[in-house]
Amino acid sequence: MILIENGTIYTVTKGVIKNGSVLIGNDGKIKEVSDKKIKANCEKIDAKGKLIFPGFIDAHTHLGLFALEGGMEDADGNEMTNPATPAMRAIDAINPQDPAFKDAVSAGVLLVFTGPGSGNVIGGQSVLTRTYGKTVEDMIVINPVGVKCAFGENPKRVYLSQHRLPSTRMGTAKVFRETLAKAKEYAKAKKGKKKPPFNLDMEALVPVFQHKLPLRIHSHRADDILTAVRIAKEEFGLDVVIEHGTDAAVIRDVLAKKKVPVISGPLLDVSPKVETRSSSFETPALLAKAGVLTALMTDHPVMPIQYLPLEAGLVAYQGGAGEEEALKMITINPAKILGIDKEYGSIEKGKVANLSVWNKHPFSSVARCETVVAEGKIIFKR
Amino acid sequence: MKKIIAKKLFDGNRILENKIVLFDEKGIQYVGDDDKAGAEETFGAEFLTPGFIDLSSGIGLKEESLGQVEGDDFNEETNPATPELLALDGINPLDEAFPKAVKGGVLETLVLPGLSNPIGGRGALIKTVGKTVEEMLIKSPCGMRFSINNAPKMTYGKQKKMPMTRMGNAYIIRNALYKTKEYENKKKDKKFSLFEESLLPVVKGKEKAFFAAFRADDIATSIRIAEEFDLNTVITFATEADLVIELLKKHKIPVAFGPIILSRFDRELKHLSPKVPAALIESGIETAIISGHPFYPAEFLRIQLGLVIAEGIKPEKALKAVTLTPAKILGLKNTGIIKKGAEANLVLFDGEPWETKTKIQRYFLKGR
Repeated sequence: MILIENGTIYTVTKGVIKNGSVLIGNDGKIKEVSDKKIKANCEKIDAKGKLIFPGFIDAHTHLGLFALEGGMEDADGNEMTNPATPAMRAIDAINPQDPAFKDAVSAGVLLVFTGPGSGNVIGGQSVLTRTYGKTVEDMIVINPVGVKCAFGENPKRVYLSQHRLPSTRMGTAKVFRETLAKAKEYAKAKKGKKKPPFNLDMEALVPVFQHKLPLRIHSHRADDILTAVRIAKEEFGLDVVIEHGTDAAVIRDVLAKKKVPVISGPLLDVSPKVETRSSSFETPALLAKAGVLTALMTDHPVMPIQYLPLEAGLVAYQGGAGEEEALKMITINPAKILGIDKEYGSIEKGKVANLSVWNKHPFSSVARCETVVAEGKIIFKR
Repeated sequence: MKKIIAKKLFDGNRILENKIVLFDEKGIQYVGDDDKAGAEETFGAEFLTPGFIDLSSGIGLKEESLGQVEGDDFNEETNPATPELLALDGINPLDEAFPKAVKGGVLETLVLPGLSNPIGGRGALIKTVGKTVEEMLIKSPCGMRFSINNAPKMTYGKQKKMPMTRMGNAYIIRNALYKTKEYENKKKDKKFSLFEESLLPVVKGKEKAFFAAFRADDIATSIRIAEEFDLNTVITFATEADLVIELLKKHKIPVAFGPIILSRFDRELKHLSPKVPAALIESGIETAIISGHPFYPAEFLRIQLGLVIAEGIKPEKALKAVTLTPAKILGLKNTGIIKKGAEANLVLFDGEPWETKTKIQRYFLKGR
């Protein structure tokens, strides 16, 4: 057991508790959260003058797939040999030795969504992983957790250079629609008497039709977002999460009505292409205010993973989301999008004891994370 | 005459409290405690600083939100030695990054060509406000870009052209400098050559040589070449500079460090950490902090200062790294500082300039 006492606890779901205590059980779960002293005979962390946050969750990264401090040999994010590769599994490419995992822990980022890049229209299966551990088997929380898809410039650019379809947005939609239509038939045939011949790519999409997995669709332009929603949600009735959503604020009412969540970002970079032109720290605030379930991403390595809280700070203060809402975007909101909000995303009794202790609010540029607890164990101390 | 009443004022060296600044388009007329003098307009500031100077940036050359053909004029990857190029000719004043940089307090910047060529071309020192480069211009040419790192190898190696190795990289630079010396000393039958003419001010020590180097050994090679030709050198990017502090000190070479917020996507960046600029500043080496735009947005240059402060550096020393230090390195006497007679390049913040919370309230460039 560990007792963290005398700190300001940002529970996320139950407000801010001053001079609060958190008791962590041997099972790695939070045993008690209180605004009063908790008596316990165990290891204690005095958090006087410190701030306590739930483990941060980065809802969209490529952590481990483009290992830092490496070269081309270490880039395994995009299998750009076929525009539809649903059977690619991120788990086969994640390098737990990627030093970026340590960076993540040093900033209290304990869970990440990581997966293939956006070179293909259908890129493959992403995972939810811990940021600590020696093997992927130790690290994975949910595999797969979503199927990565991409609209707009990226697949066009990749296949135009290979003189193959898709070289237009129409081509991208064709690949997407055709693959889903085949998968729908395959899933249906699997339920019938005459089983279809085994197809690994189609197998990967069956859980999508069973609503066990969402399509995680990279799209920036408003029309691309709407094309993705039209095909995936309207034509095929599938679950959709929009990734990046640079222009999502323009159609925020539509997204709110259709209950499509958006993972916004990366925002602390120089807009690299035409479709990211309207990139703004205000977008997440506008989405949240319109009722869209919104999370933030670093898109690591596009932005370094350890600066997720700093990005959230700029969303809070420069973008107008406010501290409380921006904090949700890196804790409970991604937990909801990932379907893990019963166990993660806030400091509450019964939830997994993922916590970090800071000397200042992590949204400040001078803040330092001092202690990190993951599943009830101290895994980082400055 | 305009007046600013500043709760905190960073003058280039110190953070002072409750100061009055009087200025007009001619410059700063008064800095002190006396609030008696009248002014046409008066402004209040929580925190007043000189306009920030970004000592190494590709802003305007590699444009925001545009592709390679339309908006990327950063690297002329057709010849490894292109000293004839002028950044000024590639800068688009309408790059959408300029108004954002201003919003981040960056009022002056040295734009240098990219890193692909061992000799990349000549920089332009500009203000970040204006519709034409002529309006923005402070000085061009200003500084020569040299590049000793993986980038030239990666660019030309695959074309089976020199440089394919670090030896090749150094050879190209050394050879060009020897040729320039020969050109300089030639009295008879001298034919005009733009190549040597461009390098001449560098060889004479009149123009700064900005060496882009990340690894400690590349920093050392840069210094070796600089010593051989007696160049006036600045190391830019400088990821491993803290490993060669003694060498930098011995040769009195300033460093333009950054960007700090950058993924270590190459082996050369392995050592990158806010600890490095903190160690450099602590050691007394003249250290500027740069955005390295477009690798990191100039708009948020100020946020990087917070990371250095979190490493234990005093705020005034961090602020100096984007004001007085880059001004000194560039040999500018009247900017990067708030004192009587200096240019009225002023930024009014509503809080600590390095904080995420803080917004810029107003800025003045040459008093306007």
